[in-house]
Amino acid sequence: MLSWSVAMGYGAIGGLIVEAVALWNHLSAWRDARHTAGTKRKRRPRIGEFIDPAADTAVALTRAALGCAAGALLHSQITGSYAAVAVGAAAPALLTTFGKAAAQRSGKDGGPQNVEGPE
Amino acid sequence: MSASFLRRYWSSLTDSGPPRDASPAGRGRHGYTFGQRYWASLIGVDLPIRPEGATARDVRAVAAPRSPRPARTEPATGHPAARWFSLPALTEPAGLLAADDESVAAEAASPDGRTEFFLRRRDAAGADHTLEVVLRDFDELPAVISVRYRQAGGERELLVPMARQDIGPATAQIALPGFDGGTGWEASVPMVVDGTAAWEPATVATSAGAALNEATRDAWRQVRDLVSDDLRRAIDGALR
Repeated sequence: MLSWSVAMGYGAIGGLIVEAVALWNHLSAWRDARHTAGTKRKRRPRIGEFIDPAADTAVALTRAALGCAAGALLHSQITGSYAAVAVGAAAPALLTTFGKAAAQRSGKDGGPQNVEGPE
Repeated sequence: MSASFLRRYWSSLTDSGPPRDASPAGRGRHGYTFGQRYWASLIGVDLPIRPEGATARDVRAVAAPRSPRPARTEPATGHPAARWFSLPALTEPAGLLAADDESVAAEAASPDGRTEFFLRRRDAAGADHTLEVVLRDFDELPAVISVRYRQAGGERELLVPMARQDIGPATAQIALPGFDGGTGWEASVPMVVDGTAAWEPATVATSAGAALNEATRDAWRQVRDLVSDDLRRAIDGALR
């Protein structure tokens, strides 16, 4: 069994892995958009059009906190570091899935009101 | 095992939707509050891009108003005398419509900035369009916005119901059958619904049948409670 602090630490790493994957996806989209713009001789998009530093930083902290919480919650059932990381990654991934499902339920095609969330 | 099945399997497994043929246009930042951007980022959804300079409550008017230009939108009752404004035509239909699935092919706002229009295409050929309408800061709901466009064989008018939502502004999404790319299409200011509404039952039935999601159908149900019996029957028939 891992201690509270160790499980929380590994859980936070798991949450940050989810954030890293999301960041990678945005960077890939930016790279693709630049490539497409280059072949069509249009203006290449700036990275700021694909990355939102303020919101993404807040989300990274939230995901790390969620991973921490999941690690703390399940620390008595976790015996290894890999399992703790996996538990930490599962929490924000689960929230993402629920959030997407809720957005899709409230509007078939996901219009602005469905993804804007709290004002 | 076909490549098509594998693609669909992977798409379903990763909840990524249909594969995209082109790169996305980026994430919307201007015109959204930090909370909206935070939530969208947390649930992994990209906000649609709004015009530069727009705010969360006020969107720059991009539609060229018709004459006479409506001033601040006052609730208009009735509809033959509805006030209209032009919506921008697609200047490069082929190029714009070659974007990825469900991409916004055109975006416009009413002159007072309270009504936003998002035109999307649904199929690769660009022949099938949908329109999403968002109405903000309008208290007298339910209301109806008329949209007129040309199609092969004449002009078509569809009504878009706008009703109060649990969260966020009034929004509706409809199909635009036969939409030809946007030359000479226009929309009206919001019209308050009451018992004197005198739309053609056929127009009402067609419009209710064009509703694309449950929120729009719910809006029609709210409109139904306020209109005359013949219009009520037309709505019931279309929603059945």
